[in-house]
Amino acid sequence: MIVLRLDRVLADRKMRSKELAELVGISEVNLSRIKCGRISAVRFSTLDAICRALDCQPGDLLEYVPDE
Amino acid sequence: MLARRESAGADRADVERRLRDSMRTLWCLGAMATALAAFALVSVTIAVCSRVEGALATGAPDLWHALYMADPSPTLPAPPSGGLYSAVHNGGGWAAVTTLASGLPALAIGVAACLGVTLMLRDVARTGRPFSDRVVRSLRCVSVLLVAADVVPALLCMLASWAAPAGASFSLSGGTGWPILAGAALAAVSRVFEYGCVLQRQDDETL
Repeated sequence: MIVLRLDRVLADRKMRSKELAELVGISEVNLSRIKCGRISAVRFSTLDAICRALDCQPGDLLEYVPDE
Repeated sequence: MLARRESAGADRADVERRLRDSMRTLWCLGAMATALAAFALVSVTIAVCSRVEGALATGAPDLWHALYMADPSPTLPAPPSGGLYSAVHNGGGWAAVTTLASGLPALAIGVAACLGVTLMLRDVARTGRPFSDRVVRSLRCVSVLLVAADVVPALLCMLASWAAPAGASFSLSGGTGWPILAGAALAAVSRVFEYGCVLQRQDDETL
């Protein structure tokens, strides 16, 4: 399964969720859904905006974890 | 990229606003149609009851005989023209029985179908979401009612004709077939909406 590591990258950048939500242009509720993994897909446009705001690569945000 | 997303969001908001406006208008029309159909049903039922009561009071042994034998009631106003009202007001004879047997259920089912469509439109106008399980269920119910509105009266009319006394004069008014076609088309549309529900869920879970 694919796991989003947004909370880890946010902690590394010492950035708050509210700030990132404003930079990306999505609501805090939706950002929280991304952080908690309560979504089934991410648009390239959203990923692009997050990577630009956090100055990171998609690989820093996404991680593949084999199913048990 | 962000500008394109904002533009898509604006388009979507615009479409949702137009959808709500249209649904609100249709809901008002549906409510009026339901009220008119319900009024027609109630007035015909009252007229039938009045005729049957009069016939029973003058010696008819049961309901069927009351409908069959009743003379036109002088207390009722003159019928507008032919059809169900004429059967009720000028009734008597087996033609009145078969007309009522097919007309009243069709009217009742029509009221139920109008009510179903009206409630569905009200839901969509309120939520702005046409692709939901509730709408799919409503569409299916209305399609079944449309088929029933054609089949049930034809069956009842046939039953009434079998029960007709020898020599009774009546005309068999069978289904026209259009409500069945409309019901089948609506059932197909409900399948399309089912697919729309799946796409809506996917869209809701995509950010």
